[in-house]
Amino acid sequence: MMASFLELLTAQPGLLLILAGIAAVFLPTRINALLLIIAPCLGFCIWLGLDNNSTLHSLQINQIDFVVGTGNATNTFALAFLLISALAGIFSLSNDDRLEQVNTLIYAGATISVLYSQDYLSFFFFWEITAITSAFIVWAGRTDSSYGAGLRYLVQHLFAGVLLLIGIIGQYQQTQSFALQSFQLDHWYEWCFLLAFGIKAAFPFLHTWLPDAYPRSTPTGSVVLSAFTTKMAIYALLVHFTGQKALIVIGCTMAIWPMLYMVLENDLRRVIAYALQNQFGYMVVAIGLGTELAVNGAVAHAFACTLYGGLLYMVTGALIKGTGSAKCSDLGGLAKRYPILLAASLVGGFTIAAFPFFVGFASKSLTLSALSKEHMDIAWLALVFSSVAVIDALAIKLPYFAFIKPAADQKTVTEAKEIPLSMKIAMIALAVICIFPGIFPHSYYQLLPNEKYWDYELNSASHLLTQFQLIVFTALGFVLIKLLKLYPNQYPQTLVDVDILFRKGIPSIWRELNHISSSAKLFFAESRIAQHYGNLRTMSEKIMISRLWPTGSMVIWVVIILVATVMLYLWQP
Amino acid sequence: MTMKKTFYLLLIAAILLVATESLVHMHPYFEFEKVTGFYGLMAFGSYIFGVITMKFWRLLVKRPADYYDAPTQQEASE
Repeated sequence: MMASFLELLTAQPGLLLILAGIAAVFLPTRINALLLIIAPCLGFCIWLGLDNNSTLHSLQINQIDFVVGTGNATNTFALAFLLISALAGIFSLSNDDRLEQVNTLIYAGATISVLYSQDYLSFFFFWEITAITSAFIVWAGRTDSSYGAGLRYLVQHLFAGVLLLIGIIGQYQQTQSFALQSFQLDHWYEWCFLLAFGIKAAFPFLHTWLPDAYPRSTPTGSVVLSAFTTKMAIYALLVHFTGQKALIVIGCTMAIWPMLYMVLENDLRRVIAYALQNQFGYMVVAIGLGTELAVNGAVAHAFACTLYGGLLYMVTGALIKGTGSAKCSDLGGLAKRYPILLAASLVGGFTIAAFPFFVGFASKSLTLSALSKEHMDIAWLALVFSSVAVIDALAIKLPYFAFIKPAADQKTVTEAKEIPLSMKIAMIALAVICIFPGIFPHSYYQLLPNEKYWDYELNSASHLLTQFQLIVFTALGFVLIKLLKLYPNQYPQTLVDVDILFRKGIPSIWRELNHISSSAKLFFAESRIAQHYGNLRTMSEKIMISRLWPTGSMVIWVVIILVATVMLYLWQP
Repeated sequence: MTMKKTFYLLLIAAILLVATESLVHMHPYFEFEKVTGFYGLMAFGSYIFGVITMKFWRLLVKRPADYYDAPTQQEASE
């Protein structure tokens, strides 16, 4: 019994984290804070032992090896998740919110378990756990706006879950099997899968939960949120839809649409959310292209994105911890107060902007090269075009508005609080990890699934030159626009995205319907039937049983009957 | 360091970067990549174009900060 339990626990790193999360419900919060670091480290030990683990077998989909060996996609995603879990654990060492601790552990564990799922039942089970636990992390913000954002987040993610379930049922009916497989989009249920993954991967116009929910969580919560859900969806797309050309168009739209918001947004956490959507665009294009180099690019970029997304949210989280705000209009002049934060924001910004010698450059280049090799000029131009906005928003705007430009209000600088040491350590560690693969790309590329491109030549003179041109000319544009006083001012505002359709559109339709129905009710109330109906109601209220019949007790009875039925079924003679 | 000084520094860097192209063996995949300073011109052009587009886009999507939180006129009157 014990041996088989251990075997299950060491089959993949995720289960251990889930178990730690369950334990965290009962343990003191100080111990939980340590558990958030220790559990991913133990998970890493399990990850290291996976190579020789015979309980898992490899799964070949589209020439990509899944599950076994360190040179494959699944393990690379899992490594990224374990790394960011441990670092987010260090970052939130001073946090003692049990709700957040428990859900972070279970969320991380479930995401890793999704990676290692080999059948759709466990895939769906862990997939849904991630949706629910992550909604709790949004709610951990404990403000009115985080409550609303968490609800919207949960509704959209549960809808994605329902679509996935419909897809799984359809797939089972067709093939009589729950085994994971890749799709060609020639059956209806495959579109359900695509849509379900699309919601989670922030496809264009399904993405509004991303800039809505991430900025409303706690300073530590948004670090955790940015790491898992979307990358899990990218992994799912990689397994199921590698080589689907439609994804190239979707990916390009995804890269370009957030440009419209990145530069204008005042809230830095929303800026990062939009920039991340742009980054997922790169990955989706790479998956759509589906060549060996492109798949390497998608995996490398997902790995890198987990790291720098976490780092950028750590910087904004620390800013909130110190000054109470991560909005451009409130910040400024903090360079002397928070030199480490400035350095971390520069590393994060340079990484996402694909500055040479940072991990972002090492990963984005693969995707762009793959596009050039296939002569996809329009997609290539779209991605390069969109990268200009990312350079502006994160490598220039974030450091400039938070740290360099004169403070809007001198009080923010004088009253800025000290940032906990644990946060600084986490940021420095993550910054080092962001630089290391950029300098030694070949050891980094060994994490990628296709061995053929492990020796991809990254730092060639012409490549470095063109990339520096891209960055320096963008900076030149920024300074010129700033000198001409044309740069969009940063002030508190709401920029409506397509979410206006369901946050304002549907309620207004609902109000209209209500208006019609209330006038209908009025008409009905004055008729004779209504008077009869009214008499019946008062009569029934006089009868004891109908008066004392709250809905709650009905639910209890349903549960009791259900449990009894299951019991009878299981223990029938 | 003032904005003006930064501007001239970046301008010099930009010109140097374009000039270096003649010294380095380039690997263009697309026809348009063969234009001297293509990446720089593309970035600069995209940036200026982007910022101007965004200024117009903001006119379209900008709302008060409490747009989603404040009750609408109709709700307030109810």
